[in-house]
Amino acid sequence: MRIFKRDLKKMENQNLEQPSQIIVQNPSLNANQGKKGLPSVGKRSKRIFLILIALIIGVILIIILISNIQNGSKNKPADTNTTPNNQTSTQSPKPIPADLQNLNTQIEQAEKNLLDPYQDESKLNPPLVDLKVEF
Amino acid sequence: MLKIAVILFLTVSLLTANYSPPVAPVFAQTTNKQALDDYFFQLEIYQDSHSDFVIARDSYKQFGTLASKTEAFNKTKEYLTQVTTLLISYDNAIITILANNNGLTNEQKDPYVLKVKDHKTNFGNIQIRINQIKRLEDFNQIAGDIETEKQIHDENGEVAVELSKIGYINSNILSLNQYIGLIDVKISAAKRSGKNVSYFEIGPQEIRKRLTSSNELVAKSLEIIASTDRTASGKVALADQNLSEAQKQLLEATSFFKEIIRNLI
Repeated sequence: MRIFKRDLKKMENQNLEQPSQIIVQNPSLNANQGKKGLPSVGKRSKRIFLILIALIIGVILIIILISNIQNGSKNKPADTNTTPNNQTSTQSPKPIPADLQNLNTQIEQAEKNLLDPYQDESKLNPPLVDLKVEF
Repeated sequence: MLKIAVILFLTVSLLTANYSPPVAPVFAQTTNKQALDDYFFQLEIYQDSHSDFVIARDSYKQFGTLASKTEAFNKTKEYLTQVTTLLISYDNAIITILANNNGLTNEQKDPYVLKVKDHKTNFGNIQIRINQIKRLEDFNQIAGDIETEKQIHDENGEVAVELSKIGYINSNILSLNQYIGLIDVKISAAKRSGKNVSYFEIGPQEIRKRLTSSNELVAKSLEIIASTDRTASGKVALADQNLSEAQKQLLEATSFFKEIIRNLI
């Protein structure tokens, strides 16, 4: 009888310890119990997934960075503040209103066009062709 | 896990929101440069084709062998086809240059565009006839037909190019007319602010005088081009004289513009 009771106690203790053993052996089983609809992903696959996502983000960031650099170099305004022959101006230039500056540029362009007109038309002389076939 | 995915998605979305992929250029219609490049390309091919034709023709005339006759036939066929292709590309260039000219109305362009299109059609028909030729001797007739068509074609081409020049000068008049409106606004503001306005009384008047004068010269050039009492080269020469004067007037107008802007600044 004594032996039986002792065995019974042992068995009870084993039963109490069992859940903790299960957690250690297969934690995902326990963690996902009751969460229906979510895929069961192991720790290792989680890591791989996160590394992949990080890589994708990295690639996207690099693409954006490169495109921004390219756009920046394209849109870089011409340096208008340089003075010829390294001369430094003694007084600060009077600011020109943007609309007047714009108008001035347009007038200068119009003048340039008028000084050298018909650039396309001058290339269009009727072609000279040899039509003396004579057989 | 779901949270991580949502955060990652939002991060990527935010990062890519500012990213605009490079936009591919859209060519709505052929540019003058494209049309001219095609014409010059065809001109180069024509020159090569002409050399081959001359060698083959002379070789046949010298030796008269069957092989040289076949070669002469093939090279003449290629050559005359290239002649018509060259003339068609010239017509395309004229049509493009007129289409892209902002200084002309459609009513002013259309009669000349139609004439050039007719030549294109005629050269296309000649190309079909060239392909149907079976005997070497028949190329003489075709070459004669190309020459006849080309004479009228060249005259109409010259006139169409002159019309494009008129449009070019007219587009400059239109631009300067817009700028004079802007100058008026700036002068009024300068007067209100108590600036010395003595020059502002003369400058705009002088610009207007020159714009009116060049406008009249352009109208005169258009009349000359449309007239039927002169030869094509006569019309072109006279219209050119008027355009040179109009161009001079416009250059003077730009000088006045620059002077006014200097005073406004």
